[in-house]
Amino acid sequence: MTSKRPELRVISGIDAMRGVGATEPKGFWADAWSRVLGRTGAIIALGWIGVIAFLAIFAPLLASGHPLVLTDTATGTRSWPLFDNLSASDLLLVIGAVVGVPWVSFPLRIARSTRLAALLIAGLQAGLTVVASVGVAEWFGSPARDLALRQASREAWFAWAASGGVALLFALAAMFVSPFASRAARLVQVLIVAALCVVCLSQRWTPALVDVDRYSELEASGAATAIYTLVPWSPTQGRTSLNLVPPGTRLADKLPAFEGTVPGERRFVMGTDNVGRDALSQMLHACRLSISIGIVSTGLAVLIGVSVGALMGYFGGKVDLIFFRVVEIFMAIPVLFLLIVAAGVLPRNTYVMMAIIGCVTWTGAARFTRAEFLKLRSQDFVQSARAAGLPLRSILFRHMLPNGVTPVLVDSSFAVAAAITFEATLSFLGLGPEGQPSWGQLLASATGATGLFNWWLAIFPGLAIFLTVLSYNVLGEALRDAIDPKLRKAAQ
Amino acid sequence: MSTSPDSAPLLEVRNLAVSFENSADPSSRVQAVAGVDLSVWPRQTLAVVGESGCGKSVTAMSTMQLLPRPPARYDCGEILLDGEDLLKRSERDMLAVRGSKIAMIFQEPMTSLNPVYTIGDQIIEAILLHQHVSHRQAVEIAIQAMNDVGIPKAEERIRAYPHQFSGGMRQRVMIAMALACRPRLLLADEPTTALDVTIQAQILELLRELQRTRQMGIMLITHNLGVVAENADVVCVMYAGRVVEYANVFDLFDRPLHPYTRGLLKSIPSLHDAKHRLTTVDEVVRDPNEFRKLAGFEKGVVPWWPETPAEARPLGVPGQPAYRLHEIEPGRWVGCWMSEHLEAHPSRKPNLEFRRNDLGVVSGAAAI
Repeated sequence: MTSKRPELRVISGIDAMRGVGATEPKGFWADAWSRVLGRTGAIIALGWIGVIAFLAIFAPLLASGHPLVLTDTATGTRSWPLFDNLSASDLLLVIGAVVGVPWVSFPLRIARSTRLAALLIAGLQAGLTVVASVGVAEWFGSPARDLALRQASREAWFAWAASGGVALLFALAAMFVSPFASRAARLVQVLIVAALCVVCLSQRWTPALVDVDRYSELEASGAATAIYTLVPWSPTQGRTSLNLVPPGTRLADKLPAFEGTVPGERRFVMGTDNVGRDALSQMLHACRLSISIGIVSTGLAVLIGVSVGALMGYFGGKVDLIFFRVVEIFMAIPVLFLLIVAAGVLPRNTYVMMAIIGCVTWTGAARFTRAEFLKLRSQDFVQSARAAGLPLRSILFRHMLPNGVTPVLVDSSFAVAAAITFEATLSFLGLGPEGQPSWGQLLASATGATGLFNWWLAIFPGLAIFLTVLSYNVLGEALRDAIDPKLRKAAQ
Repeated sequence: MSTSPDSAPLLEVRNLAVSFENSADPSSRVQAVAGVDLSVWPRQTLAVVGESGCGKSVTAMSTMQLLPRPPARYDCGEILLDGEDLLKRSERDMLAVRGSKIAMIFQEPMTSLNPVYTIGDQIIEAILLHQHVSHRQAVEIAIQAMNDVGIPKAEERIRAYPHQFSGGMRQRVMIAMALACRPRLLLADEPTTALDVTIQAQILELLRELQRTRQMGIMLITHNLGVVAENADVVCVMYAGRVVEYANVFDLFDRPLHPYTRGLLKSIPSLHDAKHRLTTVDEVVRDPNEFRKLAGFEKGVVPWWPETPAEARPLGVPGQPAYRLHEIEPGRWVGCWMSEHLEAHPSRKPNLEFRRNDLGVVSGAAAI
């Protein structure tokens, strides 16, 4: 800013009527967003969430026991174990991020909201395709099926056929919800996503079983040289001889056989857990679990809550009376205890956890939406929308919802934080999703049966949980302040 | 575009009665409209006049079927649009009528537009809903509609949000939205009450101009008699959910027949006579002599009024409702107490094809 006094220009009333001095109109959301960005705390919180989101997508590339490049010293041939061992969902996530970020942020002719919605739908389509395909593969590969079937399911043609069928199914479903107006654009969108899914899934149908420790031994013996990305350990790679190594320890400190070799100098930056797995690598990979549990369960809760709340608020009367009793029943359910019970009787995976959190915590969204819709339904613009002959769906979700969604949005930011806490709590209690690194699980190994306190396993995951939950809360506060005009005035 | 000629009324309301649940006393119902008859012809403006709560808006909302049921209930009657009863239509079928055949503009332009969408989005949505056109054509129709109602620089303003418009401009947007689908009938529920006088005149002239070019019928709901005198063809005066007088605008202002209408007209202040205080409607309708002025009083033609003392009422006819809208002289209807005399003289339902002939005078001055 220069210290020169700004020159004042006088705009007469007639000029103003002709549009002199007018600024480009800003939509409600653009305005609210710029107000959120005006707060330092909110920017820091967004930055942290951005880091976590980045790690959630790119962790398999950043922290892996598979080297990026492996060069055979005798023959000089190179291989790319890191890429060969990425799973289908890792690949799709990376592709989605690399394509999606420019797709949304670059100025194109299509409206940004449409592009964002298209990306969201594409993500949903790809996610469901992957989850369903993995389910199919597991069903056919399970020991309960007979041998011939199991063997057939490992063939390449089966991979193409099965993933293709599943992808086509979800592509068809996505056609109905695609935000594009023209049928051709919808078709192109869903087919691109489906084709990507099929290619990635069929390439990674049966997971390659590779002993990750083999690379270090190859390197130590001088048979090959390896280049790793940021963290040279996989989250699942562990040796009991390396258990509870404090931060900064070299591999050679624990395994003298590696003394004087390249892999011997590699350090466990944040130490290891009680079975000798690298803590940093687990921390990075756990970001995906936290983010996805938070967002998917809250998304589900908002979807249910807004639909029920909208009907309650718009119709009132008996509908309101009946649905509100349902809301009260759900409000009485203690989520944590339900999750603990579910961990005992249902399969312990992330999807079950997401579904349970989402299906129980929608009451907040429902109550907020109901209150807003009760207020909105008598407003003139709703009356005039009805007078224009718009169908109920359009009145409820196109005209009333954007005017009443703000409290839900603020609430959902807090709900994401709560869902992350639920996951961390369950994992800490040893009831979290199996086979996946998680902050809570790391935290649980801070105190072992021996009574030792391993400070690095308490501080780092604890800090990660704390900062993430805090960030979502700060963001929710900032959003609330930005949206509420009364608070906005008070702040000025 | 309208295809049917002017040979039949566009809208006919026959003996409409609407009541509401009484939340204070669930055993009783509030009769908001108790047997209303009226008709609107193409290119005609019917002004519905009356004080607050007399049932004007409920009649209009019933035509659109916008009243929430419950608490509202249609007790009897029919609302014929081109001869088809709208009350028999299902909610789903009404969607095809609302906005495309009947449009409505509301009193409050400041709050009648959705604040989160641009003007263009809102007009285009209505067009896409009722007309089979592509999005690009819809944009063109929207811009044309905005030009028609005199919004300058429509191509730019189409991307503006409602809060960037003044009240008069918003009401123009509402009219553009209502007329974009070329409805046959426009229900204007006090369209100018929230606007200042100059804008009021502009909007009303605009409505008449559009009415002339589009063969549209207008039901203009107002309590401003100045607006009625200048814009209406036919006037329907309502009180307590009933029609008390129905006539063409010149007859009504020249020679009001019902004491209530006289009271309304007398209560308008005039610049020419210095008065200590204004005459109130009450003073007129409490004067028994006012009721005797109607021709045929001796034979039992007494204007209907809820507070008429029992001794002044004629003997009713058993098995008949106490009120009847009677054609006293050709083209003039007055709400009367039922009597033997009226029973002996059947009356037409109110139906006036009258249109004032000064329509041509109102030229393109609307687009200011």
